[in-house]
Formats: sequence, C-alpha cells, structure tokens
Amino acid sequence: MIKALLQYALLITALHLLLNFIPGDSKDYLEGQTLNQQTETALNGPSNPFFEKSIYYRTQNYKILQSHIPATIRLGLLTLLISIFLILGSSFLFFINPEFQKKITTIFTAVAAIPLIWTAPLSVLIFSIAFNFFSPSHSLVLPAILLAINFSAFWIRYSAKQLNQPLSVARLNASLAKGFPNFRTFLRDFWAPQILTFAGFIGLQLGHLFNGSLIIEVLFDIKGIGHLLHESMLRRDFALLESTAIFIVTVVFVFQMLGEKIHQKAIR
Amino acid sequence: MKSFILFVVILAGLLLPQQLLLPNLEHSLQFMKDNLGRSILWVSWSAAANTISKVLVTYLIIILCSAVFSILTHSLQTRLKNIISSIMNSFLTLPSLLIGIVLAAKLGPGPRPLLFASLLTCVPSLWKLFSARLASLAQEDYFQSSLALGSRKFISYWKHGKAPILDLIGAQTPLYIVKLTMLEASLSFLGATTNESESSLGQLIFEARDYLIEAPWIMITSGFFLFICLFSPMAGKKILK
Repeated sequence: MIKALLQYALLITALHLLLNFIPGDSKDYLEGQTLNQQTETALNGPSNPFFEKSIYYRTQNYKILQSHIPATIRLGLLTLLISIFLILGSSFLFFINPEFQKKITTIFTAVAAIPLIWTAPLSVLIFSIAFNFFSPSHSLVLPAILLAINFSAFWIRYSAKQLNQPLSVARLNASLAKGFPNFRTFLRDFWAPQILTFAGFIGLQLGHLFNGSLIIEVLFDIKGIGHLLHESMLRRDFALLESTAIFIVTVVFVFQMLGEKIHQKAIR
Repeated sequence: MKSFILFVVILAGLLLPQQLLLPNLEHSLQFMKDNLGRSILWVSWSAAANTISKVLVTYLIIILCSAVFSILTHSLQTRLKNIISSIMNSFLTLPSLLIGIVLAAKLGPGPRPLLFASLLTCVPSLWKLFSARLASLAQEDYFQSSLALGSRKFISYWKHGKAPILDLIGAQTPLYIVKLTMLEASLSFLGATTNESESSLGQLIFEARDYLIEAPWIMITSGFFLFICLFSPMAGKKILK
C-alpha cells in the first residue's frame, strides 16, 4: 500500500514538473490574444489546479470536471457492456462450432489493429451516412461499438486459445456428458473460472481504453474527459489541463492497482 | 510481401527530393485530388514519409536510451536498482497519449512531444525487457568469472550484454515501430505533433473529416497509407524470419 502511494505521488509530481518546469512559454502560442491579469497568472503555472478558475470557462476546474465525467462514464459502461456481449457471444460460437474460431479471431484482430482515427470516420461514412443506421452526433452506440471491438479483440483471441486447452476440453466434455445444456456448461465450466482473470484484465487495460476513448470523444464530439483534455491543450488552459490529467492518472492508476491485485488472486 | 514493398517505397520517398505541387484550386476536390487540387496519392505519400521519418528517429533515440540506461542501472547496487525498478513500474501506468497532449500544450506542436512522450512511456517497458535479459546474463558462469577476474560491473555488462540486447531489439523493433506510428498518428490527429508547415498522416485524416461526404477518397487514401505503415513492419518481420 505504501509502495503504491509512493508510486502515485511520483506520477503526480512528474505531471506537475512536466507542466511547470519544462521550457516553453505558453504565451508564445497565444499571440494576438489580449491577456488579462487573470489569464497571465494562470499561464504562469497553476498552484492548485482543481480550485483555480479555467481561463475559458471562468468557473472552478473541479466543477468543469464534474460536468464532463458523466459522458465518459456512459461511454465507458456502454463499451464494457458491448465488449462483454461480443466476448461472450463469440466464445459461445467457438464453443458450439470450433470452425468459427479462426474466422472470428482474424476479423476482430484485423479490425482492432487498424487505428481508430481511421476506422471511426470510415464507420461514420458507412453506417451513418451511407446506411443511416446511427446518428453520428447524438448516438453513443457507434463510438461504443468501435471502442468495444478494440477492447475485446485480445479477449476473444484468449478465449479461443483457452477453449483448445486440454484441461478445458476435458472439463467441458465431462459436463456435456452429464447431460447439462450447452449454455449452462459454457457459463459454469468455461466462463465462471475465468471471471477474476477478466476483471483483472479490465483494470490493466484501462489506460489503453483511455487512449481510444480520447480519440473517439474528439471525433464524435462527446463532451467527456478526453474531449476536455484535448480542448484544454488547444486553449493552453494549463490549470484545467493539469487537473484533468491528474484525474485521469488517478483513475487509471487505481484501476491498474485493483486489476493487478485481482490478477494475482486469479493466478493463485 | 506487398505491404513490405510499399513500406520500402514509402521509405524511398525520404530519399527523393520532395516537392508538392502548388495548390491548384481549379481541380479542387476532383476525383483523387484534395481541397487544394493536389494529387491525394502524392500528398499521402509525402505525409507517410514524414510520419515514418519522425518515428524512426524517435525509435533510435529511445532504443539507445533504454539500452544504455538498463546497463547503467544493472551496474548499480541492488537497493538502488529496486528503487529505479519501482519508478519504471509506475511510469508504465501512464497513458502515452495523455503525456503527449500535456507536453504538446507546453512545448507547442512539433516532434518534441512525440519524442518525450515516447521516452516517458516506451523506455520503462524496454528497460524492463532489457533488465530481465541482463538479470539472466548475471547468472551465467562466464559473466561471474569475468567479475571474479576483477572486471568492472559496467564493463562486463557492456561487453556481454550487448549481444543479447541487440537480439531483443531485433525482435521488438516491428512492435515498437507500430506502437510509435500509432502514437504519432494519434497525436498529429489531435494537433499535437505537426506544425502548419509539415504534414503527417494523422493530420491529413483529421483534415479529411471535413470532406467526408464530398471527397471520401481523401480519408480512404490517407488512412490506407497509415494502414500500410502500421502493417508493413510486422510483414517485414515475417519475411525476414
């Protein structure tokens, strides 16, 4: 616990040092704008980023953060739900018919390997403009599906591998021989023992998920934390940038620690 | 194979004198032309060459830093090594895009945010890999004998550690090139690594969003070039195998 706290303190200090002590004057990038006293003070480096006022929103940063968190949580939860559906669905397909394994894993791996900055606009072009399935500006479904495909590709490959393990095959065959239905066998004898590993994986992958959600939020104009971070970078609003960055690092760090603990428990 | 050849072709672009045609608004948004009337293939090629050159330079720097740093830290006492190891572990949790954005806000758009973000996020992971290899090297008899003969720790690690580290670098290169290309494209897409005078694939894709309906070929072509840049290092690795 003390080690984790020290690591966290180190990360926050590193972020603070990056924003306050590396060379580069933010005023150079705001040429042509009239700087008032408050803006100049903010640009000179925040002292307490959460309670300072944003130079653009003119309200305290923690209030701005509070207003942007729900959109990110909604996107994250929907992504998680779709990921679970994709993972369970595809691994059940593998379980029923092993012929699907190669095809589905290849498709998911290929789509997940293509960068989101390209797949997202392309999917808008195909699903929103050509076929009019989703509204590009109001629906969270398309962004969540894109993130979920990226997020679940690894787990789909992993479950395909696990299904071919001799131990899993023996356990599943024994359960089926007892006359239990397919779906029950799949859930109880294949998925239940892996839930802890999966929970640990979610925690460990949160940083990776954040990278994706930042791009998705900017592309689809979702007013979440990633969007706020990007906006504060473009406006050189350092106090807001620092508070958003600290918030993200805290969340990622806590979930990674939890993920690690759960993963260790799963291994035992 | 095809993607590897295309990668080589893009690399060849680095050696050619690059001169984009002057804007010609008469041909603006004609098929396979961009909003300034230039051939989108040529614009994407130039952007890809720019992206790859940035990535290669960044990769060389991070590889050099990680190798030297891991040899240096292994020459230190165990206690110091453990402290450095915990610091490296904590840096592993940082999302690379976040660091890139924070640095871009401070340093302004350009290649520096990519370089420093990669240094902060890729060096710890490479350091861990190299350290594991150096730790196994320390168990070898010949290494122990060289220490027993009075050779300094740093010199011994340098002498005997170079070859296994080079092996690891060879194995990890495609993976890290892909990782860095992805990071560069994402950062330039977010406006963090390119000036107005430079072009990059991410920036091209960002600009193509505005012409998604009238000229989808801008998005498709620039994305295709990015796709090739990402897949060719892995394809190249398979061919070399």
